Amino acid sequence: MKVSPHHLEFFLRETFINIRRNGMMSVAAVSTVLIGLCLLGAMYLATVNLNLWAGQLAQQVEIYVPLQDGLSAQDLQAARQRIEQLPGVESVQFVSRHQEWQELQQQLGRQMDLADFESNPLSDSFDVRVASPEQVPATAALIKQIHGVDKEHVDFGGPLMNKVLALRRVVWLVGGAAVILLGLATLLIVGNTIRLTVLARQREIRLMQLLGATDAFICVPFVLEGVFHGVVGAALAGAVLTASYQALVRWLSASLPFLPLAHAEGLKGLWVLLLFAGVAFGLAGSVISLRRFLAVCEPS
Amino acid sequence: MIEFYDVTVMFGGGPPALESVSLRVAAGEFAFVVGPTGAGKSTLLRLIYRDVLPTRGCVRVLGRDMAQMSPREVPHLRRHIGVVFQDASLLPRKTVWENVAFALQVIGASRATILREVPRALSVVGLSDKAYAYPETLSGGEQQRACIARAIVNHPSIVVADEPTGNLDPATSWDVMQVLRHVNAHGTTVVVATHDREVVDRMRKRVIVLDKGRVARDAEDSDYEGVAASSGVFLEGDLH
Ligand SMILES: Nc1ncnc2c1ncn2[C@@H]1O[C@H](COP(=O)(O)OP(=O)(O)O)[C@@H](O)[C@H]1O
Ligand SMILES: [Mg+2]
Repeated sequence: MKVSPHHLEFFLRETFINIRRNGMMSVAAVSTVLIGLCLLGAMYLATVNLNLWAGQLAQQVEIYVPLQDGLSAQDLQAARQRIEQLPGVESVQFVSRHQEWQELQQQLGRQMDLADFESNPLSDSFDVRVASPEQVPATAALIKQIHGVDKEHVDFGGPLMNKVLALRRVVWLVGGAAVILLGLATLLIVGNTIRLTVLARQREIRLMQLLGATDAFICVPFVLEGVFHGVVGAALAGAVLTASYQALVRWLSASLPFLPLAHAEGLKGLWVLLLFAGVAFGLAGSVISLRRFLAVCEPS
Repeated sequence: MIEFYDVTVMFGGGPPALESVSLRVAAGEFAFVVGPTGAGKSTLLRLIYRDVLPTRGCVRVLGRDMAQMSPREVPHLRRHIGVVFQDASLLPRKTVWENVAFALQVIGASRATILREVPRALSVVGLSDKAYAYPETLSGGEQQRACIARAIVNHPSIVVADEPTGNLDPATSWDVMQVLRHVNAHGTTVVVATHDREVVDRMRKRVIVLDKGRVARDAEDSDYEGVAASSGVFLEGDLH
């Protein structure tokens, strides 16, 4: 059989007859898809942002090594050599307190009034880059033992990054479990809606079978119905998430300006994910119901 | 066209619905299947359109062994068999035209085919003027004729009717039977299950009598009891 617009028209009409007849169940199915996908989407957005943050931190991992005040040029040179000889150290860059003060002023000038400080509160320091983030804690510990280093204030981004990575693990674990549970619930409810439609149209299905319709042909309107639930649920979830995410980003960037946040790029992926998941839920739900029903219809 | 070889059908426990039934219906033939309720008439017809498979024995329709046919082939077999039920089974939300067109739509027929065949089928059963009526506004006889139009719209080789006059008064039953006779006259094999004695007696066709799942008698040009002469006389008055 060649599928023509004429067949499509038939399928679509049958699909909408089903949806209309099944009013309340259709609403229930779309709502569950909506809730399930909102959760999936929220998890996606959280992950995108945490990845962004972790990635940025990973790039920035360097050990801040402040030096004691009034260090002689020789001591400074000796300290530098000893740090360079530590395993895993890639580069050591000297940052004078004046240079850093200027950079800080440029970075924060808009947010903080640095004029409050009468004099430069910073000290000279080394920025030490290490080959891999995992080596940072050990290297930092060794650096603290070097003469001339202000060991109280040696610092690196490690703890924060570990927290971000831990947070991402929690999001994946909790979110993943919730998504799986809600996914099952969604499948169940979409499947059940299709089952009710199938039962409501049992006579028609039987008639189609006796008229010589193939199972595939009979299934099309029901599968389309399932996909319709999925797509409408996904569209609603997309709208809800987009609106709330934009509001959240606006609020966060006002109150936490340092937090790296994904903007429009994150949302494009969100729509793709939601539509894909919605269609998948709709398809799976209806196919599971139909397989069971059509198998029962076989003569024994 | 239709061949049964020693066919037995059992549904779960209990006595068989059909037992050791052997018969043959030739192409172009018109046959009645009669017998009391529970005799196995519907089961016999369902074997023909492969809605039931024989428990034992062999059913061949259009040259194909039903037991060996794969599920994928069944829809294609059924496109050659038109089925008419007792309760017209028209879809209530579709007009007569749409109900008849439905039979073509669900097998993926083209729009041109539908526009050509639906009016033809409706004119064969004499329902052209009711094309846009909904089933509930039709009389019982008109509903059955719409059902026959749906059964013949795809030019089947066989038409199977299960008590098509079950709920109709005698005059209307006769009309419906005339439509089936007309379909048969154009070469379609017709098998009708009924316990409408009057109709069978008047039609003078082959009669297969079932009793408790067995063929009790199978006679050409017969009437319900097989007493041709007396019923013929009895019916004379009703005919005109
Ligand atoms: N699907 C079924 N399941 C169990 N028993 C059935 C089924 N269909 C028919 N029967 C039994 O088979 C016998 C024949 O039924 P049927 O063919 O419908 O007879 P008829 O059409 O002559 O009234 C009856 O005893 C009926 O109860
Ligand atoms: Mg019956």
